[in-house]
Amino acid sequence: MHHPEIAAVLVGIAVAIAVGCAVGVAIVSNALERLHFSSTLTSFSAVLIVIAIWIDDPTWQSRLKAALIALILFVMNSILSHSTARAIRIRDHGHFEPQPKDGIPLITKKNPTGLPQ
Amino acid sequence: MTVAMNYWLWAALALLAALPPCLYVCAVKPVSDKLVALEFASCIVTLDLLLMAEGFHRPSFFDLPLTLALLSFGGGMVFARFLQRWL
Repeated sequence: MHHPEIAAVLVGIAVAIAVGCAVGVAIVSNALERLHFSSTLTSFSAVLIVIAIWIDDPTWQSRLKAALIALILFVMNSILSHSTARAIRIRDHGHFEPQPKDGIPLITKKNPTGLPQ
Repeated sequence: MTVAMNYWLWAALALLAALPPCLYVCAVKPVSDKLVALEFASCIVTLDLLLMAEGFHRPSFFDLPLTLALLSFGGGMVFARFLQRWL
């Protein structure tokens, strides 16, 4: 199943997504917004590259290693993004759990709407 | 080992265009943004090594991005911990 044209198109799309995400990382306003772009990268670009490798390369070692790399990137990026966002919040606010002084509407049994009473 | 230029290697070359924006954020923005840009850049380099490994048609070269994917995760976690407490 050797279709270099299809693989080349997929790789081109993957690179375009990656470069677009990089531009996004540079132009958005704060760190928490920047975090979203790495998940786009590891879910779309990585998967497209792996599909292209499976289409173009018959050797199983390349195919399985590429799939493993994409899986590692996908799973570990979600963990890393969460821990980074948590670290940024703790660094900025001094605590992680939401507190009334944060001004975040807290939905409780007594206050189901979360609006200030 | 000579390999003709193929679309995998052209794609790897093109993917390097994603690194200057990360460098800009690392150079100019606050420390939280620097960490996010560092993590993004390590994903980019991992994919770049993946493309090069395929472009050189050497299955053994896939070990490099595999190692980088694992180590950049560990490094990012350590940086996040330092950011949270000491930086």
